Amino acid sequence: MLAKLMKYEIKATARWFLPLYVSILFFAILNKLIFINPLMNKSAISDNDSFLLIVREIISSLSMFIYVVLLIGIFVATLIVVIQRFYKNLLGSEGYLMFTLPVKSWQHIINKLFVAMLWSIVSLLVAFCSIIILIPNKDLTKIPYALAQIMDFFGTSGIVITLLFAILTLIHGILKIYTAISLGHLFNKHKLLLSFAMYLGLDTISQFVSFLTIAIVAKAAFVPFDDILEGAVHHFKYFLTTATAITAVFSVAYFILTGFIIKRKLNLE
Amino acid sequence: MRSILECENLSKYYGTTKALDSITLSIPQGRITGLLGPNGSGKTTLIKICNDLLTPTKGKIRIGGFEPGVETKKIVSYLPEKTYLNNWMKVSELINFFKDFYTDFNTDKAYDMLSKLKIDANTRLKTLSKGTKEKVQLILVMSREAKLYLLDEPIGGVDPAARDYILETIIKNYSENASVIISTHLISDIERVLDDVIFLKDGQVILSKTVDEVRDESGKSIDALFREVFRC
Repeated sequence: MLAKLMKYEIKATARWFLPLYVSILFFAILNKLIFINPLMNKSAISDNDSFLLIVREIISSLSMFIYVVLLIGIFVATLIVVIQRFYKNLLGSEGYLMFTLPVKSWQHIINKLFVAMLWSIVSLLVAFCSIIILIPNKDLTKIPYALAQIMDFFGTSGIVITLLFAILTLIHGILKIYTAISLGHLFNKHKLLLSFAMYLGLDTISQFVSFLTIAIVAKAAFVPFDDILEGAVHHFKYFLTTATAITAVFSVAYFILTGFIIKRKLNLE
Repeated sequence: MRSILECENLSKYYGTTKALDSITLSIPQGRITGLLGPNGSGKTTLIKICNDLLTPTKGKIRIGGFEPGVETKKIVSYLPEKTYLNNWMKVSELINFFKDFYTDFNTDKAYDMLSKLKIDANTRLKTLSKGTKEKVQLILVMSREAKLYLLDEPIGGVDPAARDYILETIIKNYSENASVIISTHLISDIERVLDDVIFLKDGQVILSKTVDEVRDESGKSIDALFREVFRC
């Protein structure tokens, strides 16, 4: 059933993302072509030809501007879709259909979460690809070297824990939004506004608890190192492990709370 | 006669308001029951509890022997008073959606009803009129071969001419041994199709009889009796 839910969730959301992805990649390529086009090269145009100079400036600035807007848009769109699919499809009138499907209510949350994660990750990859496209060819060769440097510095365990932390942060962020919307929905009026207030509240609580826990752990776990760099890496890993654990605990709490509200306290309008 | 739906002292409070106040009911198989009452009498609350959209404050409810949940959702076909259609699917895609999730969904029946009502399956839901949307929802709900149909105000939003067609659709399409519960306050329109009636007032059952019993005992039509009982 989860697979079926996800199939329809992806269908419902793809119509927003696919055109965005195509256009962002299109404008990245366009910008690249403008960069490498000899006509766009300063030396190709004599300084006296001010008309051509202006046209060149306008074209390259405009296409760069659109690209940057799209790049920002992709992340704004991801955020809006995460909120809108939960709010409208589950807690709005469409919820009458969704919650009378023979599916457990927690599967609805997992479905929304997985698909939101999928688009967040794909959006990130598309943004990354578009940047790679824009990087001048001669600098591209430096990327593997830079990656090797990072790998070397953090080590495999460091990379693994960083990735785990990144994924958990994503889960935590999405579930926090779901919890806030569910809490806001318990009120009869101003549901969206109260959802936003709930989000700020939840965010403050989780920030405070995280900060406190990390401070306590850091104090307890501090060991002096002769080599400052080695010490930094060691403590960084320690910090990340703690942060990952806290994020995991909060994610589970948010999931349970959202599930409880949806199962027991829900009253669709 | 076996019953499909049973409630025992079922109550639902919203704060101090009693939307349902200790209701005890038994709906037999193979009957069409009218759930009648004025606005705010608890009809929708009861139907929402049957669909697991609300959790009762007190009491028990069983549908086909199960508490509301995944098992009951497989056998209950529900028409809410709200339009629950999204705006991005085509009618045909929605039919596939129902077929994917409900094993008792009869696709041929759905297309047959669509063509009779001259609704093009390739239309996007967004472009349908409100009345057509309601018809599409009813077609989807009645195309399931469910054990219990819960229809909340199925004729509220359509014109009187379409009401007859809808009632006909309901009577023709509910499967044998299945029960239908129709909640409405438009009694005169549906009176002729009902087997049983339940009157709800302020969250309580004040009458639960067969239509024949009502007519024999009071000598009145359901509509006349309703007007008498709920006189303001």
